[in-house]
Amino acid sequence: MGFQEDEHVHGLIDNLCFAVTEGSVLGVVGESGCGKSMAALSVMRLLPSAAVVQGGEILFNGANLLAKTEAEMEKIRGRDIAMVFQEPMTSLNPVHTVGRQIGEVFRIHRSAMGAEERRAATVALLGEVGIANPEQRCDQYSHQLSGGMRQRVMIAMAVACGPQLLLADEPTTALDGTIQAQVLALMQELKQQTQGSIMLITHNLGVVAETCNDVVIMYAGRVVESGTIGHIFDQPGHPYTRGLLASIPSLAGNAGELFSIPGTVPSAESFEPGCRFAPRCQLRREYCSREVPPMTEIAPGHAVACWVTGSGRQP
Amino acid sequence: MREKNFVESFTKHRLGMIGLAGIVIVIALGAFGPLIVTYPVGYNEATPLAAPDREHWLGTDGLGLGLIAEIVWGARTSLFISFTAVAVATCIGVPLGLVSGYFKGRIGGLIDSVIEIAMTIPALPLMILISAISGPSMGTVAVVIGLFSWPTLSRIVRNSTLKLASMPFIEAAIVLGIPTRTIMFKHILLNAAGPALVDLTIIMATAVLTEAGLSYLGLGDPNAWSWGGILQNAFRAGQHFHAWWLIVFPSLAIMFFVVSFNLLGLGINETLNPKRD
Repeated sequence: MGFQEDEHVHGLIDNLCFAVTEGSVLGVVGESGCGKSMAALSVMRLLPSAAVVQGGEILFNGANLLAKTEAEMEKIRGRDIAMVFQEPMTSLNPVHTVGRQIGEVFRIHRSAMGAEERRAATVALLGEVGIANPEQRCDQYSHQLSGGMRQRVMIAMAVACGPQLLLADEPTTALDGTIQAQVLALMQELKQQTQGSIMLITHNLGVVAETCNDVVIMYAGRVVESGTIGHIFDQPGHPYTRGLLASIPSLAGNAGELFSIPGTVPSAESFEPGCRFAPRCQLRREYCSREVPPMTEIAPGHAVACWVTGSGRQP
Repeated sequence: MREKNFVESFTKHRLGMIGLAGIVIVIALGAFGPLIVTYPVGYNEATPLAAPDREHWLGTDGLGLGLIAEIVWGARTSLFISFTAVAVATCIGVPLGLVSGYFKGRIGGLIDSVIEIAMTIPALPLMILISAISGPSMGTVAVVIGLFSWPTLSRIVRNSTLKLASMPFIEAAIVLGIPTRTIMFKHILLNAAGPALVDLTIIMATAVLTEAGLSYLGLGDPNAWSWGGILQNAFRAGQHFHAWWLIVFPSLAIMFFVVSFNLLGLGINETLNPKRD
């Protein structure tokens, strides 16, 4: 599975290129507004109508998703590629029971199942995602469940048909710490069972360290660094990645003030030519804003888009 | 949280329950009344224009027909008119509102303009025109009333849909590959049902009023008893000067029906609105 894509309106995301390998977890990391969610939505072909995909391709099992018809996409969504969202509180329909909503996924993608079979599968699934008394919970409405349970239900709906790719858009951000760990563990476990892959979108490097095999760091719509989890955490190449890692509070660290990257992410209208991180970068050279730095491999499987630390040349 | 407790909360809403009771009474009157009271037709041996007494509780009209029978049979007309009008308005208004709210682009905009234009058309003169051309028949009147009541319903459904379409649970449904039509009718419509239901009660009440108005203008069905028709008969013959009962009782029936539906609407609205005390 690989996916690659160019330019949105205002060039929101460009030259985004990364691959989710079978059976692994890819972490997509970046600040709010850097285009992480947009990347996931474009895989689903569910970008808001204002966004236009201007080129590139998104390959899923060798087929380009951008070339599929809407009807073909409807079959893929929920069956082959599924998604879990950030807001468990509002991601369930308040007027339908939990069981009915999960059952609906079966009804659409597994039309051969009868009503009783669907019900049994739904209850089994609820049990699998760690909901106690699944038989009883099945007939409850979302408001009768806690936030953690709702997210479990959302995950149940997403994995109902054993998708090959699960897009998880900040699945634990709205949950408290202990529940976060449980939900992440659950997703790992289900991934093992279904032999699928996960694309985990997050801004939490702690979550990445715990769950991912590979990491892509995004900044303002571009990939600035990609590599295995070892590469990113042990030898971060891009100044932005280094800044992110430096801004994590450490238990061993001294009690000084926490590092923070100065400035904010530029908006799509104010992108400058050249490296988009340059205005906030501590290693900045005057040539950084002249031309976009290319992704350069600094170690096998570890690439960085930076004029200073990556490519050994100047623009 | 609504659906589950809705029935329970509604039963605690006193005015809403009074409205519901009123409607049940009218429906019972229309359904079972004609089994007891015979259809008032032709001349009767009873004294014409007799004031309410023990024999004729609500008095008689110019032909000596009992007013009770006329009002009971008139209830049937009112019910037929209001339910047909609501059915027509729902069939047109709900899908248009859903589509225009869900597909925000060109189709939605186009339908929205259609709704807006339809809302500006003054209903009564056109209804008079259509009834006059097509000839007075209860079916026509009902359908025509329905044809003029859908725009408000459409607008209400559209507004709810606009809000609901951007809710995460709709996004989640799309992501699960649930077909658009299912999303619109099962996920959005059910959530938008509250305000739409309130509007339906208003349409019902208005339909009865409009029918009475058209009948009063002589554009009702002369072969069917209706409350507006009783008034029209009385006025045409100038009997309203001496037979007060011919005016008071049909008017009370109309008022009872309309007020009942308005109270029901009020009850539904306040039960669905979480801001109530």
